[in-house]
Amino acid sequence: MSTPIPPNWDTGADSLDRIDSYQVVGRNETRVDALKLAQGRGSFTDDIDLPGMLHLKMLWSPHAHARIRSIDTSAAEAMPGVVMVLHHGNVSRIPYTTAGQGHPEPSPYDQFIFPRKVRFVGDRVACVAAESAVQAARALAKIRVEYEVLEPVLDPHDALRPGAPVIHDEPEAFGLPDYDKAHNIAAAMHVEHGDVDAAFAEADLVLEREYSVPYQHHATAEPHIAITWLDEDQRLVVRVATQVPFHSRRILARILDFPLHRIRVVKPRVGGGFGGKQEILLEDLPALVTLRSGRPARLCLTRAEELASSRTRHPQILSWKTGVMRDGTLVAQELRVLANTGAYGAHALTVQTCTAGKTLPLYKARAYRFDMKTVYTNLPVAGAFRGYGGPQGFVAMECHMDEVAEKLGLDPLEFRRRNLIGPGHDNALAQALGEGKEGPPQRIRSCAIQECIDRGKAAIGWDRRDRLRSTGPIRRGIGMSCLMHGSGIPGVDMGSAHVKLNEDGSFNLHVGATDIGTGSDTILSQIAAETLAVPLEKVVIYSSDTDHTPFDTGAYASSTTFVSGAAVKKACEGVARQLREAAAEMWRVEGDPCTPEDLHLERGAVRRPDGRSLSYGEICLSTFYTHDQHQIMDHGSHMTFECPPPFAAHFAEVEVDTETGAIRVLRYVAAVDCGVPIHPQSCEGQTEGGVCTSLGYALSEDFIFNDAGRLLNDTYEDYKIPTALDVPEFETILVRSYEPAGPYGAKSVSEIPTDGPGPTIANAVAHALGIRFRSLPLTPEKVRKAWLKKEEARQRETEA
Amino acid sequence: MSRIEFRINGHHLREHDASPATTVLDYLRDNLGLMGTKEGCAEGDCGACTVLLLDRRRSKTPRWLPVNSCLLPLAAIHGRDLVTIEGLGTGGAAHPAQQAAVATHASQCGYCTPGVVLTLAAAAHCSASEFATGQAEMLAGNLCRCTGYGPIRAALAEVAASDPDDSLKRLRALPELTVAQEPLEYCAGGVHCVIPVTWEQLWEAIEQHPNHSLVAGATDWILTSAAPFWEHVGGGSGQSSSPCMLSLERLPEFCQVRDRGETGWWIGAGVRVADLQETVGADVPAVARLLRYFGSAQIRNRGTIGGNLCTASPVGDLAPLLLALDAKVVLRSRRGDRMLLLNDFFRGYRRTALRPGEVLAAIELPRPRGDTRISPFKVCKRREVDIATLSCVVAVDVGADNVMRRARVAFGGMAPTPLRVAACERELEGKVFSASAFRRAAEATERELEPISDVRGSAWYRRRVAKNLVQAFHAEWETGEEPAWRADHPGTVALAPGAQREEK
Ligand SMILES: Cc1cc2nc3c(=O)[nH]c(=O)nc-3n(C[C@H](O)[C@H](O)[C@H](O)COP(=O)(O)OP(=O)(O)OC[C@H]3O[C@@H](n4cnc5c(N)ncnc54)[C@H](O)[C@@H]3O)c2cc1C
Ligand code: FES
Ligand code: FES
Repeated sequence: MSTPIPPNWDTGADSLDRIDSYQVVGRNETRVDALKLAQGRGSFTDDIDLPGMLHLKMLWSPHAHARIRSIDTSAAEAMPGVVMVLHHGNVSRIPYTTAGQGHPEPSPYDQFIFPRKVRFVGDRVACVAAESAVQAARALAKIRVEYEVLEPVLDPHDALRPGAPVIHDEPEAFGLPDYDKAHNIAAAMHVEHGDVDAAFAEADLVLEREYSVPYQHHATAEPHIAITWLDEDQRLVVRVATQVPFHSRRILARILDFPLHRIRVVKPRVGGGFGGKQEILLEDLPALVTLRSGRPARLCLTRAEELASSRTRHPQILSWKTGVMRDGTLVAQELRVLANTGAYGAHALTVQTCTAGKTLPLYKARAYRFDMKTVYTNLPVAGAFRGYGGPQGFVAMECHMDEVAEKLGLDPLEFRRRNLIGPGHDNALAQALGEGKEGPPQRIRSCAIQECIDRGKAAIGWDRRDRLRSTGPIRRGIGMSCLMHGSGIPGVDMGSAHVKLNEDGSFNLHVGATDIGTGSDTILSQIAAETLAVPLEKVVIYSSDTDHTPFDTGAYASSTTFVSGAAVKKACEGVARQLREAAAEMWRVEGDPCTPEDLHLERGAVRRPDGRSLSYGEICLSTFYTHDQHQIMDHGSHMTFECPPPFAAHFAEVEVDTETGAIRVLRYVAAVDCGVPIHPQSCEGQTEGGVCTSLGYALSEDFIFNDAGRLLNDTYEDYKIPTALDVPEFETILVRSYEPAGPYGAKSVSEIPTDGPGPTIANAVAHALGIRFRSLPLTPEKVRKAWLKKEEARQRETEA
Repeated sequence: MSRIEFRINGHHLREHDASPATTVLDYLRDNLGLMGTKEGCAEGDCGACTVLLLDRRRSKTPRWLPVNSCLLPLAAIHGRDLVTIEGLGTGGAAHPAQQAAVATHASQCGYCTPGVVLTLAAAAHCSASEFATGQAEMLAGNLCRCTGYGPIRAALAEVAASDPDDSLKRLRALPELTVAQEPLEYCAGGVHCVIPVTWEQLWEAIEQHPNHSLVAGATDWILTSAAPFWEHVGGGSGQSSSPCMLSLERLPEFCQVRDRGETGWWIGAGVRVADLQETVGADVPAVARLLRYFGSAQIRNRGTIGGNLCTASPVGDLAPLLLALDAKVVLRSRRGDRMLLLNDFFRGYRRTALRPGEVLAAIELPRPRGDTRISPFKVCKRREVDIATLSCVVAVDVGADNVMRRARVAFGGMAPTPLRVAACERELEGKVFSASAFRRAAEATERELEPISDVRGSAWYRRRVAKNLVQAFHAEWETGEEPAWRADHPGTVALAPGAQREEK
């Protein structure tokens, strides 16, 4: 399948030279929001206070699995300050998915505003709206609920057991053809490419290993929150911390049975999303309260509610099998995944297809097989989480590659080099995996993975690897992993932008793309400024308000720069053309005609070859008030069937204390090819931040449940994300390539860093201890136990 | 006349209506509309709510200390000066800490940023030597999920100890509010609050308000005891049976450390962990070594010794240390003082020897002898801002003949209370300081202790590590090698290099 590079196939290599001529793109401009955030002036959802606002508090299920026999809210309603109590008996029952995905969502429709049967500890039971939060909380205690407790399913294997309790036995739930609720299967897929069995039969070595990865929580700094009210036209305004305002509006209209045009969803400043806010998690409830009471309403989750009842990263059990020749050539790869989506199937299919889609094609093989089941359990709900299946898959694949290399006696790095995909190669699985339907084919153009390896290898000092300390209680090791991700969902993600000119030569840029801390407001402004040849401050960006900005699928799938950025570029190119035409027209009227094609834009003015110019301000004044009156403006939409993957090579050096089992990451190097970095500092920030999140995944973050399925570590006291002092010395290397399909040569950068730390650290620890860990997180206790076992075994050997 | 007075960003405010138990975080946002201070967890763990509180008592020049406003009851800022993010910078111009945050690209979503920037601003006013000796750890109390911290650490390095001429300097020069020296009786929202400035006033308040609750730094109180006070909001009648917060912070000598030379220290129960770091910690390295891992800077700036001991948490950090150092507690009531060995103070899971109407007034801490060897160990899931899975402090006096005269081995997290392990100590006292003595002591420890399994670690792990720690102590002192905690291990502050002990 390794196709030679076709003639005329633009791999972008020639275009790299162009980068240096850019004025705004590729430079570390001060972020458009940096100062306001540092001054605490960023306006987040909760930073407004509306007169007469009602406060909502939730009654959550105390049981992992139970049918609600009855709910008596009369005592609660009689409590002081209580305005209403919502529950399954007084709201509509329309099946939907909270997954904020494109229409029609590939996730099963298995939720209702309130369920009649609760499916995890933390499921919705009722919601009290009262004059104050304290009053609402007090009333919760007065709601009488009678439950018929059912046997819970607390393990994904048990979910598949014949005769297992059926979690979604309601008739209304439905999904894609493979959806099989009777057997607790929320999603399933089987894909083969090439003759897999024949390829395995030919292989010199076949290795199969099982890996498992835990729950992880987004732990955004800002919890989920929504505030709703009716404006003076009695339209519903929803101010919500979301990544997907347009999906939110569409889904709300359906489940509230309220006309879409009477809903306005506003995304203010958002305190982090990482996929957790790609979910229509709670805005339906304040919206209902507002519609019924006419009053503003607010619902904000506490940290404990956030941890127990919002969304998480899908835990998976992954079985990886490779067939390889003695010389290290891979011939066959097989991945089987059993994923746990918890009580509801948000992103149940697509996260898991990405587990395969981001990983398997990275290494060329003659044949691939992917088999996946995502099952329901009575545990917290999984969903989208930065990396979207990648962090899980790479733990398995990149640990596995080390294991295979070890079996073959090859350097893990050279073994990988031999099999990596490269420019001109096809992504073998792109079509088969798709997004709930067949996907468009993908051929790699820009790809600097080999250079990422070279530079990362030098930076970490890979060649020291054999000389690291391997005696005494403190051991050292170096590990690495190779990574690939995507840029948007091809054929699905669409972004749009609107640009108009003002009298001072500035531009308003309205985008549907949602900056949730990703820096997209800055990056999209840079793309606009570059295209319009103005400094960054001449672009006034406004993002995400369903009334005032054009559509965008939202901030997910690493799509903003690649997809929405291209939309901005298109819109600005239209404006640039109009500017040239208007200038030509002005010169024509002055009796000095020229053709627009001869004009160019530079430093805020339209210029003639002889150096004469008209500033944008002059042009705007003329077109507003004097001649050929019109508003210079344009819009652009962008959708593409391309999904160029960014690539990366991650390296880490660790120190392991064999006596307590504690792991210290000393150094981390992430070399990433994200195409042209529009804002290098942002790319570094995304990389370092993503790595940090997954350091938590590798080392300390996990959900601990009791026998009844209750989450025990539901506070930051017990759910440990890394602090400033836990992060190692860190180096990001931006390896430049030029992606012809991206705006100014850019690909994505935000998700790929989360893919690396799991396998990189596990490989480094394996190198340090000679012990292969196949499950995360690598807690001191787990490491300590394994070390003891190894020592005991060694002792028995010496005795024998 | 009943009101709470304070200065926020230089504005002198008088509050008549808000409940004294309201958190300063809620008060800033809901009552004053100052929205820059954020809530991320409401339990002291994330630092999004960080504000600066002026401390006039620890040093000659008043200092701005980062504290968690989510753990701060309104009553605690009576008479005090507070700065929020809105009070940094002058006349619209950005503060150097804000400029540094902009330049290094220290915000992504920006939700953690106000808290981070205030921590940076406080660091700007540290002296270079303070910064070098550990203030770099100030950032542990500000969680950020976006940036990976690199830019934030770069901003810290840029502003630390830069001593800028800023609003903080101007505001700290304002004279202290006069009410700071006066007693307070305040009642609002059905909740009483009394801040006595004499012991007599305290005893009166205790008698007058049977339904009272003692409050020191409130870092624990607000999470475990404040709920009934909030429940009361708006519902109470203001009668004496309604709940009353009794703040101990202003009692005479309550917050002082007296160095009594050879005898040791007399430490008021209201002394904050940060104060203890700077006083006793400066003399006894083992104390500094342990306290550096106590909560976050924000917590250490508020949490007191008395509060730490009186919660009688099995995993509190100070108890094992003070047990190993033979500290005594001074319990005071209207009837006078009584003194107990700390060992006799803990009476069961979260129970102490305090009688109704009694408070912990002080701790008497003997000065360790010149030949005392002390090492504390704290094992936790995350190095910073974490409650111990288990902790251990070993202190032994070793004579010139290398024989151990006195041995103290105290543990936290191994039983319902912090405790000394007599069986372990017996194996050491009178023995030569040697690996074999410590091995026997470690074995005795393992036999003696029966910890439980919980989210922080299994009983298996606790016992294994407890046993290791006893031996780690020996290795650390025997080899004289830098203990591994220096090498910055996460998840543990413990452990010295040495042989594979428990396998032998
Ligand atoms: C995020 C976070 C991290 C923490 N990290 C640590 C840690 O690393 N190690 C650790 O040990 N603890 C830790 N704690 C717990 C707590 O902060 C400390 O125990 C602190 O020392 C308590 O002191 P305080 O003054 O705030 O107590 P308060 O909250 O004021 O009081 C606690 C209790 O003791 C009573 N009390 C206080 N003083 C007296 C007195 N003098 N006489 C009688 N009764 C009194 C009060 O009535 C109250 O019931 C942490 C807490 C938080 C929120
Ligand atoms: S809100 Fe998290 S520490 Fe205060
Ligand atoms: S910038 Fe988002 S949490 Fe720090």
